[in-house]
Amino acid sequence: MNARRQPLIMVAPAAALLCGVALLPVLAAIWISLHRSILVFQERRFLGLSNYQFLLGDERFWSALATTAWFTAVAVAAELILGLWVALLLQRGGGIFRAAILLPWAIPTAVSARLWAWLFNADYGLLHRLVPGIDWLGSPRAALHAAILVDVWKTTPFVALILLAGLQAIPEEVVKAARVDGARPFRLFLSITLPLLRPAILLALLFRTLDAFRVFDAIYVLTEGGPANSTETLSIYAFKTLMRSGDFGYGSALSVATFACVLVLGLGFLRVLGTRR
Amino acid sequence: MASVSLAQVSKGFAAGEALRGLSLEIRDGEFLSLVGPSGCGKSTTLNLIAGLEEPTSGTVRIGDREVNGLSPAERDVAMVFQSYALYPHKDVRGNLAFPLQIARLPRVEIDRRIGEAAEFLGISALLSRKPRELSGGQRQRVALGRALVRRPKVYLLDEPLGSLDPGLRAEMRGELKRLHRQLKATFVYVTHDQTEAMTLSDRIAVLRAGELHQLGSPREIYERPRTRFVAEFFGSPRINVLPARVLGLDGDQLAAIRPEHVEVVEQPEAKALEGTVEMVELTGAETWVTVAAAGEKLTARAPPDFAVEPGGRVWMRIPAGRVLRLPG
Amino acid sequence: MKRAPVLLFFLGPLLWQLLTSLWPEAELTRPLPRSLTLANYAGLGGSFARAALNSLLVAAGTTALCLAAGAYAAFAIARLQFRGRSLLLGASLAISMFPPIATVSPLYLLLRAAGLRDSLAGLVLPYSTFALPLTLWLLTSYFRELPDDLFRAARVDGCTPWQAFVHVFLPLATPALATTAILVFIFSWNELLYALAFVSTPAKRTIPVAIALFAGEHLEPWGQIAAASVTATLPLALLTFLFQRRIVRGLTAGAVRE
Repeated sequence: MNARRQPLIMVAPAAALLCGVALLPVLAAIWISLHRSILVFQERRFLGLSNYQFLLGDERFWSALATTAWFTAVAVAAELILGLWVALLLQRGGGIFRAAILLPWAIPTAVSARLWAWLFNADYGLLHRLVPGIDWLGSPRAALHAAILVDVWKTTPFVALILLAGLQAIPEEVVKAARVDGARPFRLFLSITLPLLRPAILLALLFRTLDAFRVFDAIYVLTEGGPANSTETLSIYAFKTLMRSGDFGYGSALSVATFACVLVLGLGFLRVLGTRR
Repeated sequence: MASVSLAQVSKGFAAGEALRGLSLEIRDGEFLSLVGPSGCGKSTTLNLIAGLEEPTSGTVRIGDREVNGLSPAERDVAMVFQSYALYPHKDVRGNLAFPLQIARLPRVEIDRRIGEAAEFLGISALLSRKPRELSGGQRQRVALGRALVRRPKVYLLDEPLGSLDPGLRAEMRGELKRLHRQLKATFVYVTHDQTEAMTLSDRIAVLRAGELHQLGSPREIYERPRTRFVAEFFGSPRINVLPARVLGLDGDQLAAIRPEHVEVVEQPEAKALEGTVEMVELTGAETWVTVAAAGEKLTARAPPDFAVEPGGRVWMRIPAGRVLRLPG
Repeated sequence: MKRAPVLLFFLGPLLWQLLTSLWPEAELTRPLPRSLTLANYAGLGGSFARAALNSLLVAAGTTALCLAAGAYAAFAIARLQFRGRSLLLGASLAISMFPPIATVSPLYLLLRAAGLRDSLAGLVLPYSTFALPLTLWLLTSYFRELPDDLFRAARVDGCTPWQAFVHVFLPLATPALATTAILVFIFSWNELLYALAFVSTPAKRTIPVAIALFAGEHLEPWGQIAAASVTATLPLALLTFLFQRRIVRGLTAGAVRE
C-alpha cells in the first residue's frame, strides 16, 4: 500500500542527513582515535587503545577537564540565578524589553567575545579604567572568570526565557490562593513559585550544562586557551590538536573523551529529570 | 447506498480492549445510532467502519464487500465530526471541493455537486467565507456538505451536534432527519444523548464497555429493555429498579417500572403500595415525587394539584402490565 | 524589581561597542573620544562585505535544507504511526547534544574526500547537525498541537498522508515554519567551530571567523573591530526586534510542553 510506505519515505531524507552528518561521523571519530593519524605525513597506523592510555596520563587533558568543569559549574550557577531575576522582570516587560534582553543571545559569540575583549583590554579597556589593577585576560585566574562572564552575558537571556515559560505555566489561581492564605512576596517565592518552577529549572540546567561543557567559541576568540593554557577547555585542546598539530588520531581521542563526558552528564540529568516527573 | 456489517469485531489497544466480539448488521438506508456512555466503544466502531483503524480480529463489510485493510478513500464513506474539522485555510467552496479534487473529478462535475449540496443545505451564500467567519450552525452545515458532495455509500456521524447549544441542537436534529429521509442513505450516528438517539433513529444499538447490550427500534429499547443497563440508560427520570417482590411479582430477581407509569394518589387504596414522600420536583409539565416504600425508593408521577409535603403518606398504583422483568 | 541594572548589564556592552566603532583611531588611548567619526566603517573594506555574503549564503542554505528535509519528517513523526518513530525523535535530540568537536575530524576527512572542504556548500551539511534536530523539535510539537479531527477528516476525504501534509498541514504551518527559519538562520549565522575548521581561504570566511581572526591582519585596531562587530550585529539585531515574539515562542516551545 502506497500510504503505508509514505511515512518512512517522508522521514528518510531527515534520517539520512542525521545519520550521515552526525551519527556516522561520531563512530568514525572513534575509529580514527584508534589510529595514529598525522594528516600532513599521510600516516595511518592502527594503535588500538594506546591513544587513550596516553590520554589518561596526559596532564594537559586533566587540566583541561578541570578547567571545563569549573567553567561549567560557575557559569551555569550564575546563569540560573541571574536568569531567574531576569525572568521575573520579563514577566512584566514589554516587547522592546524582551528584544533588548535577547540581543546578547542573538549575536555571534565571536562578536560578543571581541566586545568584551575590548572592555577587558589591559591598556585602554573600560573595565580596566573603572577597576584598575586587574589584568583580566593576562592573568591565568582572572582570564577564566572573564570567559565565564562573557558566557553568562551571552546565554542568560536563553535561561531567562526557559524560566519565563515555566513561570507562565504556574496557574494564577495557585498564586492567588497562597496570597489569600497570607503569604508575603518573599515567602510566596520560596514556597510556591520556586517548587513549581522546578521542571523548568531542571530543563535549563540540562541544556546549559551540556552547552557549557562543550564551550569553544567564546574562549577561542577571547584567549585562545591562554594565558598558559589556563583557559583551555576540552574543546579547545582537542581543536588545537586536530587543526594546529594535525594529529588526527590523538585529537579524535580527545574529542571522543569529551563526547563521553557530555554523554555521561546528559544521561545523568535525564535520569534525574525522568524520576522527578 | 449500502448496508454495513460487523462480524465478531474486536479492537484492542495498549490500554485495553475497546471492542469485544461485536457483531452488528446495519440495513441499507436505515438511520442507526450507536449509543452508550463514554468509553463504550462507539467512536471506535465508527473509526473501524471508516477505515481510520483496523480491527484486531473480525471482519467489516460495506455492501457486499469486505473492507478490512482498505483505506478510508477506498471504502467510499463520509464522516461528520463533532468539531466539524473544517479546513481553516480554505473557504467554504474549497472545503466542499477538496474531497472531490482528491478523487480527481472533472471541474465541471465538482462545481455542479457543490452547487447542489449548497442549495440543499442552504449555504449557497456562504461559499466564499472562511470557517472562522461562520456560526456554529453554519459550520455544521458545511461539514454535512463536505460529506454530501461525495455521494458516499455510508454517512458516519460522530456526535455532530455535541458542540451546539440546546436550541440549535433541536433545530439541527430536525434537519438531520429531513436529510436522511430525502437522501435515503445509510446513516451511522454516534451519540451519548439518549433523546437524540430516540428521536432520530430507525434502530438503536446500545453499547457498554465494548459489548452490544441491545439492538432494536427506539420503542423496543424503551418498552422492552433487555438489560438493566439499557433500562436505566433510556428514560428520564430514570427507571425504577427494585426487587420483584416489591412490585408484586414472585422470585428473587429484579424488576423495573418507569416513573411515568407509577401514579401517586393521596388517598389510601387497596392493592396500592404505601410510602412516605421524600422529595417533590416540579418540572413544569410534570411533577415527580420520590417515595420511600418497603425499604426502597421510587420515583412516581403526581397529578398537577399534588399537595403532600415531604414526610406525608401516599399510595402508588403499580399497573402489573407495565412491570418489566430484568435478568439478575 | 529594578529593570535598570539588568538593562545596563545586557545592553551596556553593546552600546559601548557602538561608541567604540565611532571612536577615532588616534584617540583610543583616551578615556573618552573627543569627536566621533565614521572612518572605521569606511575602512572595513570588501573582505568584510564578502564575509557577510558568505554568512548569508550558508545560513540561507542551511535553513532551506533543514526546512525541506525536516518539515514532512516532523509531520510524519507527529501524526503518523511507523516503526522507529520515538527512536528518531530521541536520536535527533541526542545528536543535538553532541559536542561539535567530536565530529570535526571525520567531517574534515569526509568533506575533503567529497571535494567540499573549503567551500560554503560544505558547511551547510555539518550545520544540519544542530539545525535539523532543532527543526524537528519545533515542527513536531507544532504539528502535534493541530486538532486531531483535521487529519481524520483529510483521510476520510481520501488523502494519503503526503496529500494531507501538502494540502492541509503545510499551509497551516506557516507561522511555525517562519519561527523555525528565523532560529535556524540565527544559529547558522553565529556558528564558529565548523567554519573555522573547514574553510581556510580568507575570501570564503563567514562573519564569525572574520571577526575572530581580525587581529591576525592588522594590529588590534579596536575601532575597526568594533565597526565590524556592529555591522555583523545589525542584521541580527533587526531580526531580533522584528521577530521577538516568534523567537521567544520558538525557544520556549519545548519547555512548557514538558
